[in-house]
This record gives sequence, structure tokens and C-alpha cells, in this order.
Amino acid sequence: MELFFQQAANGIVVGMTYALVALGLTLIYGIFHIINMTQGVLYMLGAYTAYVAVAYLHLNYFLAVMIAMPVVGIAGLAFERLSVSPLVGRNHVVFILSTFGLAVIAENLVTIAFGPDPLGLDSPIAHNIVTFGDLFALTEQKLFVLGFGVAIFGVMSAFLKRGRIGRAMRAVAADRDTAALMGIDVRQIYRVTYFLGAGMSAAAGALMGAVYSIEPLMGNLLLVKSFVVVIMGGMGSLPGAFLGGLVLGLAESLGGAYLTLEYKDAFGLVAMIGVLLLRPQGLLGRKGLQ
Amino acid sequence: MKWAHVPLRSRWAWPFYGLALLALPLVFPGEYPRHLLVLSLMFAMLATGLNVTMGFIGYLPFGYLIFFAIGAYTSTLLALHAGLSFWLGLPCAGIVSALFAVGIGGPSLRLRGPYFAISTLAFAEIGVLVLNNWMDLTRGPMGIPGVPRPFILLPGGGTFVFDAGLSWYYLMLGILGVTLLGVHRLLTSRVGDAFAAIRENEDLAEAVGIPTFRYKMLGFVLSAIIAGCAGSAYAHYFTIVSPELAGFYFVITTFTMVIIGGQATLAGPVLGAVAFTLLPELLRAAKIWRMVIFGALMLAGIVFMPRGLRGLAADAAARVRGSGRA
Repeated sequence: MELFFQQAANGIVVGMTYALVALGLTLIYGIFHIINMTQGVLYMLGAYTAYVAVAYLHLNYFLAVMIAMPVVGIAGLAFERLSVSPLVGRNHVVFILSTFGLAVIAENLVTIAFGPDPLGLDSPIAHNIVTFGDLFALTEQKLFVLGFGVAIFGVMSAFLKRGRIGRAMRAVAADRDTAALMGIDVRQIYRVTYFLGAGMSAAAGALMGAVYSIEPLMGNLLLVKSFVVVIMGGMGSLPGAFLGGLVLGLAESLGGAYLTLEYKDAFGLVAMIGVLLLRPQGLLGRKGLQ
Repeated sequence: MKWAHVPLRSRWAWPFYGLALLALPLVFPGEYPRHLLVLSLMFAMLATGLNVTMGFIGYLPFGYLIFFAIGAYTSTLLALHAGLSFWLGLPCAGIVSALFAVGIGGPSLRLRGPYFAISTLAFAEIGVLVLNNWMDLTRGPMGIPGVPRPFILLPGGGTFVFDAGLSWYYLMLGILGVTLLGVHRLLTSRVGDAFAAIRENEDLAEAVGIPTFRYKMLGFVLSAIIAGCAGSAYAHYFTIVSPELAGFYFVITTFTMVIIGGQATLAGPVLGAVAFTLLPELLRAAKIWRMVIFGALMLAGIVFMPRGLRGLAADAAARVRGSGRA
């Protein structure tokens, strides 16, 4: 039973990463209706930005996490300029290729700058273990990941529901042209969306970088995982992405412990193909940005 | 004589092109240039297969490279465990890839746009997981070495082994030639019209009675067969296969070749394949920058020249012809 609780706890921590990257992916899908292949790279850039802040600038790790979000957010704006805005109006499929091309560039530039080998991002709380009775134990870093993830989801949900810009974003997601007629600056909403979507992935990278290690290709598998999450939760659905991320993390962790470790990465993929076929709008999905 | 008067596309020009292709490896003696030529032809085949689904039907099969790996492993396993020669392994690779394409296309082709792309990607990821983890069959990430070279028995009793760049060049030229001819025949038939109809407006195509699903499946299976055969040739040329065949490097390279070469044209992907096999070799300093350059060209190609090199060439030819007349 201890194994069960320990695996479940670890699974939820990993799931929180999936959730944060998937939130960015689903937000950008909700507004642009494109698949952003750079989402995994933004996660990786978040980790490397935090690494540079800690290892070269000797900043506090927590400050580094806070810095990584806006820095990568700005990188996200550049990504939008390069790979999305020149193609507005073209077939949706070309965005997969243009953002994929950009992801390849960014990944290889980071490889050239920092080398292909894993690096360690040090957090002061990475080794402090907290035990929960006899059930399970987590490092303080992992608890920080959980708390931070929940906080980001809460803030984003409130922002979209009540914030001025958040409501404008939902309006653009529902009907871009009508929103523009109502005086909403659609270009500005695009930029805000990309900034937020990039920032959330960056946070995930900076957080998990201190749990594992960081490497230039760390975002690739995560990108595929966040597809799984977003499609299962419904494209454009924030609660769907958040819950979907946790469920996937949990399923992989428990399945890896009890069923098969080698094929645990396949669970989500098989589930996703099933969802695509039976319920293309996702398990929690409705139309529009929620 | 003005360029406009050179009958580049006349039927009398084709034998000259054929002779030029046959003479090409003789002009570049040495194993290394010939190796690059063979590699160009293999990539040309791979890109041609991708182009059938991506260019002509307008569906993006993001997991396409898994068929390349399936073909390579099929041919390899048959050669090592059943003693099948390359000449039987190649068609078997095509058939097995086709069967997988039916299995993957069945569900995936019911989806459209990005969903199709992601669905094929998911199947490919599962395939890569299997290749990496089914150790007894595939030896996992280590790959399988020792794939035998193809050979033919000579009338005199000797054997001729395809082990040098020169013989492989002519072999691949033949395989690619047959592939291009087949694709050309298909596209100039009613099937090509159906593909174009699906690409331009699938709902309308469906409405006028074109069985779109069947045509999409036909194209997808054809793509897979071509990729599978290319995989088989790759395995017997390099004599080693590994899960890397469906990995990032081949995905990026093949997609860039089709995009930059020009989608939905026969010559485009071939041009792209030759250009992108030779280009990185010419820029020797590009070693570590190679993938950066590929990514940049992919992005720039999509943004600035949606019709690719082939489109640029056509525009230039039209301009020359126009000025020739004036």
C-alpha cells in the first residue's frame, strides 16, 4: 500500500508538469486554433533560463523561477512573430510545420550553447524530505511544484473569468471578428495569449528542472504528452488540461508500477487515439475557451 | 540562342536527361561523392512518399517516418531470420508497411487537419516505443547490425554483390525511377483528380460522390509502401537499422526536403532531397549548425515560398519564356 501512495504522489507531481505545459498549449489553441509545436521548447527554455540565473548570475532559485516566466514569455512573443503571425489565414496544418521548424532551431541553438549533456538546476529545497505518516514522502521541491501549479491554474482561471483582458480573450476565442467589431484589439490579445502560454510552460520547466536534470531535448516527450492531455481534456478547455494532466501523470505512475514500466509512455497515447475516435471534443470539452 | 528556345521539356530532351543521370557517378569518381548520390536517391524516394499524402492529398502525416522504420526492420528481420534476399525483402517491406498503414490510417483518416497529424504522430510514438523495448526482436536502441548486402548470381556462376556506391547508385536510380513512374501514372489518372478534389475542398468532393475515405486511404497506403521500400533499401545499404530511423533527424530532414522542394509536384521533393543531401556536406563548417539551418529553411520555406523550389523554378521559367517572346 505504501508503494501505491508513493507512486500516486509522484504521479501527481509529474502530472502537474503535464498540466502546466498543456495549459499553455490549450490556451494558444483556444485563441489561435493552431497546434503549437514550440510548447515543449518553451518548457525547455524555462529550465535553461532558470539555470542561467542560478548558475551564472548566482540568483536565488525561487527568484530564477519568477524571472524565467516573463523572459520566456517574451521569447514566446518572438516565436509568435516568426512562426504564427506571418501565416494568419493559411491552412491550419502549416502552423504545425512552421512552429516545428522553429522548435528545431531553438533546440539546436541551446544544444550548441550548453552542450547536449544533462545539467543540474539546483534548488535549495531539492533534498529536504517531508514524510506524510507512513504513507508517502515527497521532497519540498515536489511540494513546491504542486503548490505553484495549483496557484498558476487558480490565477489563470480567475484572470480568464473576471479580468478585463481575460474576458476579451474569451471573446476572441468565441468569435474573433465580432470581438474585433466590439473594439477588442485582437493583435494585442494574440500577444497576451502567447506570452501567458509561454510563461506557464517556462514555469513548468524551471520547476521540474530542479526535480530531474535539464537537457536540450527535455521538452520533446513532454510536448507529445501535453497533446495527449489537451486532446483528452478537450482542446481549449483549461480545467480539462489541468485535470487531464494530473490524471495522465497518475495513470503513468501507477501503471508503470503495477503493469509495465517499459510501455508506460504508451498509455496516454492509446487513450488519446481512443478519445480522438470516440469523443473528438474531449472528455470535458465544449466549444470555445473555458 | 536564347534560353527560351532550348526545348527543355520536349520529348526529345528526355533521353539526354537519362544519359546525364547514368553518367553522373562516372563524372564524380570516388566512394564519398557516390555515397552522397545514393543517399540523395534514398531521400528522394522517402520525400516522394511523404509528398503523396502531404502534398497531393493535403493531409499531414506527422508520423510518416515510422513506415520507413517498419520497412527497414521488416527487410532486416526477414534477411537475418528467414534468409530472404533483398529482392524479396523489399516487396515484403512494402507489404508490411502497407498493412500497418491500413491499421493506422483506418482510425486516423477519419480525423482532419491537426488531429490527423497528431493521431499519426501518436501511432508513430507507440511504434518507436515498441522498437526500443521489444529487445528479443529488435535489440532495442542498439539496433540490428549485419544486414546482408544484395547480390545477384551471374550467368557464369559467380555472384555480383552490391557493395559499392556505383552499383547502389544504379540500383537506387532504378527503384526511384519505378516509384516516380508509378506515382506519375496514378496522379495523371482519375485518382489524381480525386486527390486534388480532396485537397481543395473535401466536403465538396464528398458531396459530388467521390469516396474520399477510400482515396485518402489509397494515398496513405501508397506513401507507406514507398517509405517501406526506401527503408528496406536503407537497411541493406547501411547494413544496420535502429529506432533512430523514425527519430527526429529523419523527420526534420524529410519534411524539410518536401517543403523546400515543393509540395504536390513530382520533381519538387526530388530536387529538395538532392539539395538537402548535398548542401550540408558542402557547408562543412555547418556540422553543428546543420539542424539549425534545416529548421530555419523549413520555417522560411513555409513563410516565404509556399510552393517551394519547384515553384520558384516554374516562375523563373515562365519569366524567361515571357521575355523571350517580347
